[in-house]
Amino acid sequence: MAAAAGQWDEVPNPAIFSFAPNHAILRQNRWGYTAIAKILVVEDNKQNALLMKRVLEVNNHEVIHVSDGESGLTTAIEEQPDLILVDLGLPDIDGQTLVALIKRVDELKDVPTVAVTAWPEDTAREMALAYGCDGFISKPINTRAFPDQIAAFLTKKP
Amino acid sequence: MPTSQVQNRIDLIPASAFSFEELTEAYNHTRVDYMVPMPMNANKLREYVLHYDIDMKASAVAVDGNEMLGLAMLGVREKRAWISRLGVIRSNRRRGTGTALVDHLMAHAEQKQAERIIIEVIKDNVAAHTLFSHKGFVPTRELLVLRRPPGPPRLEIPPARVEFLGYTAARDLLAQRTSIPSWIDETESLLNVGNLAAIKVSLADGSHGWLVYQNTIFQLGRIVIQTDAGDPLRVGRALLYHLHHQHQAQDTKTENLPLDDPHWPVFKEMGYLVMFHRIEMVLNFPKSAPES
Repeated sequence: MAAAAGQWDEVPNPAIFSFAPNHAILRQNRWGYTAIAKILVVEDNKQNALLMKRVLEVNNHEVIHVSDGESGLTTAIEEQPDLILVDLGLPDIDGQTLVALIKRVDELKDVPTVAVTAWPEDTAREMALAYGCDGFISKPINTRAFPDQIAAFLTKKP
Repeated sequence: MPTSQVQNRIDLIPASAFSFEELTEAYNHTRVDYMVPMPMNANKLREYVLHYDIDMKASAVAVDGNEMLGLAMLGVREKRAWISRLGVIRSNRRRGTGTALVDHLMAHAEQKQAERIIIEVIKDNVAAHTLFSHKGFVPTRELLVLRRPPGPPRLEIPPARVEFLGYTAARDLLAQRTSIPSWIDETESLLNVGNLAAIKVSLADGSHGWLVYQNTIFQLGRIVIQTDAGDPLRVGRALLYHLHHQHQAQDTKTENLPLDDPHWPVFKEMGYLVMFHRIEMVLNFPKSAPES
């Protein structure tokens, strides 16, 4: 089932992907690429972004990456991702402000939004929850644990 | 005026010789493993230089050939200077780069007849604290960097007469302030950043005070709060209540509230969270003896 450029067809979740979250929609585009979820990564550090992107893509997620807060907001509205990863230290509008803005958009307020940060855990936890994040992931990411962390946030989605 | 120094293959080049893009890239590299990541982009750095009166010729980039090792910036105002954005790229630490940069900035500050030089160091940044202590800087106070998510205030307050005021009134109130601000909160900085507004409150018991803040589209910030009469907790509660009642959709960031500010407990009541602490350190230059 080929979709138009930039569009995704939603296909039923086959049994072989039974480990995938119940809500997850398998997406298939005209190139035949199948993803479990569409994930927006807002991260200004290129190495961090590349690492996250690679780990997520190996796990069959579609990844959209932007490197500043303003682009993060506009891209989130345009792309309607299944999950948003936000670096709290962004160079323009910072991560907390971006999350606060995302939560004000009706179409995005229920999208799991996860802070990704190098801050001390206590500060990260307090700040992430206060701003309406669904949780946080510490940087540097643990590449082995990262896919399961992401899957856990995806399964929380209603 | 020193333009470059050769010290253990460290050359110091004026920051004015680099583009903002180059400086930003270097700065972000120095902070990639920092305790509190605070990345910038070129536009933000350009604004930073303007807002805080950074002297780009006195500020310096440390290089080894074509390789940037680190950088530091010097703010200069009448009789005082401020060291900021000091950073050394991780792979080049422990070779004297930080010390060379600080020595360079101190020399420039003295040449510009500063009587004192100020730095804010993130609390528990032992390396920075040690470096500046060795140079004679003395801790003076602890400062808080605070955030508050958007949302209405959750407290009830007694009735108060409230005035919401614009830029001109804010500027005039700043001229009356009695607290000693940090560099980024000095009146010069606030007038440079713009978008200022103010709130004044008067309570039935005669307490009164005011608050000046920056109001931008996404965020409130740079709060200056003063009680002119009465209990700072009652006045502060009224001021912050009306600020957040008026601006429910914006989140707030305010930096360098002194830990011993009498209004600090009210910030906590209003839902402000501590992002991190800074320690302000000051070096007073010896005054020249008058000629006999």
